[in-house]
Amino acid sequence: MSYRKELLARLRAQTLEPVPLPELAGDWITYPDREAQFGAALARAAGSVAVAAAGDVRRAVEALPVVQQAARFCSLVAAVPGNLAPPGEPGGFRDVDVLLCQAEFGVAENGAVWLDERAAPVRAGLFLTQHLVLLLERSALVDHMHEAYARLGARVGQKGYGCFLCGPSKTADIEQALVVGAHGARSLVVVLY
Amino acid sequence: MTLVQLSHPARARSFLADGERARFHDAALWQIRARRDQRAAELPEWEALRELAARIKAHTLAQLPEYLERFEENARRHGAHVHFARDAAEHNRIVFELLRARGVTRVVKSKSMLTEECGLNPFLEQQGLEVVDTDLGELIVQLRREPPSHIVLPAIHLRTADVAETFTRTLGAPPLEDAQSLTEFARSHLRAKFLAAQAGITGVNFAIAETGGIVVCTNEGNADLGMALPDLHIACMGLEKLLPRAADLGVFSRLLARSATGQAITAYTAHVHGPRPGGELHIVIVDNGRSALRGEARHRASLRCIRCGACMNTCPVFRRSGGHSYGTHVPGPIGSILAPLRDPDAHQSLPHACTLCGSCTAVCPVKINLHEQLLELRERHLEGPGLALSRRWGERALAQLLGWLLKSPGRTARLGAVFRWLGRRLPGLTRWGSLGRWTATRELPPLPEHSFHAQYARRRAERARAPSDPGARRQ
Repeated sequence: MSYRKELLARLRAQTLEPVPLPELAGDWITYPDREAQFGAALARAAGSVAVAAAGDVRRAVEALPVVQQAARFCSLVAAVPGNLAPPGEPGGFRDVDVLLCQAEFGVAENGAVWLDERAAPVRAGLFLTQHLVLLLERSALVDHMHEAYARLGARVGQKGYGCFLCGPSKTADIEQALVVGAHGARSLVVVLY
Repeated sequence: MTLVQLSHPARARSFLADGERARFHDAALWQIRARRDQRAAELPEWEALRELAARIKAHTLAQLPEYLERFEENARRHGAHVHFARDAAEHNRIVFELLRARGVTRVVKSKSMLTEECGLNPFLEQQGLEVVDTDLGELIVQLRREPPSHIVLPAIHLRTADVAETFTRTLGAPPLEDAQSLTEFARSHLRAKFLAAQAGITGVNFAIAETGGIVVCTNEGNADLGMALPDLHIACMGLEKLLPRAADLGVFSRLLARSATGQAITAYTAHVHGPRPGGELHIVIVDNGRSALRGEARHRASLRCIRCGACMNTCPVFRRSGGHSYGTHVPGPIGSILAPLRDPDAHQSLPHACTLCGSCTAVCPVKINLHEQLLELRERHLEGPGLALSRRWGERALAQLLGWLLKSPGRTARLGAVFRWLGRRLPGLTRWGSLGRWTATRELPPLPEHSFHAQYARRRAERARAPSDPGARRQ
């Protein structure tokens, strides 16, 4: 017998004062220079920003030290070819040195970017690759998380996966010493263009 | 007459035996508290966010049956399976059945306080499964066969050398000395586990009723790997994790990591709607005493908790006694409310492990009135049969005696003299018998030799003797 029915009956038998669902509008912070705030927040999360001139994204990506040192560079962005085709199996990404993806938009308050299955059809790649490089349009920066969810709208509830990603994988579980590269990417560069 | 069973102080004593370790623990947590303050101060709307979060959670709890049904319906629409578990045993049974039916023997798990609460790991291990905790801190305590000592920082009670010894003893690691190389060792050990796992078990930070999705937040990316690699994903959540709307995450994603670790957001905030193509997603919603807590008007607000750990980092007792001294899966102020409400006999000393300073209440991102609830639980405990007599007669007699003494200046002055004499001998004089259990860990500040009256009279007399001495005036 499922507990479901009993639970719902038990909860309904309790009398709780109704509390109205609050409106989410608020006097939220805005940043005069979103790009600077985004970069500072991302740097605090151990990530970094590289700036590319419009039309020069490919050269800017190829000039990144992490890309130059990569033996296996896998790109999911047509304009910047890699030297390794995207693996079909999730586990195949363990051999990728650098993965390049297109981020959809960024959040100035915390340095996070939104990625979903449109950017990375095999999501395991985002976490298995050794290093991650993301492209982000300069105009695609919002101030804060309220604006971020407003921008996503109903899409956030579509079947599949989506992630706010902020900086590389990290841990401070050993004596509070920050170590970058716990399980996922060892570094993250966001190329703004 | 039953005396308070002081299990917390007894366990804290063993933690404090290593003074250097205890000082590190205190300082490390206080540093996180300070970072939390910095992040909060950067947002002028911080208090408005806390207020909104508290109201959203209070609303959701009031309408819980409707939101549970809505979540279930929407999650199923995406192809997820939703299970309801009455208690820890049923939760463990459901999870095990799912694994057994698919022939799973290797499981990777990311951090989930709920599965700690249910004792899932030992249960699955008894059934012969390999269950690997993949959060670094959780892995360390799992290898040591210890419970986590903090809900966000599971291994905060350990030093680097302890971790090195653990890795060498249990995993055959070479001698390693620093956090960087120990983490690197764990990374390669766990990558193999992730790639070989047949199922991933995760917790849930938020469940969205209107979309049927779950949100999982980590810094390491371990939950994401556990959800992205094996075909079977089992997500375990308490029924209080619900939020009505996806847009509510705008509020909670701003509060959670700032409160927990002083980060603006966690490295990974994953939103999952339904299984991966070809995979399976099972969501197990657990009651285990939560519906009963919802019926307790004075403690219902505890169900708003988002398990950020801010109340632990700020608590002067937690910082100086360590999470293991609480003997519960959730320690600290919030644990000292949840545990005695579930099992009063086992955890009655916990509400007393509190100075009533109110710092926990001040930092709680969902505005739980933690210290007020702790005081209420103490009262409830003391109203038991044992202490009723002393409360009824003892306190009344003491109040009358004090009133009589303080009504007369002469009696008050003599009382002062007695206390100055006594004060220099306290609390040492009382360190025996049952009173000593309270005073053994307390000291009084040094008391002055003479009363204020006597000092004032003496200085006036000195000044009268030397009116032009500027030094005397400065006093």
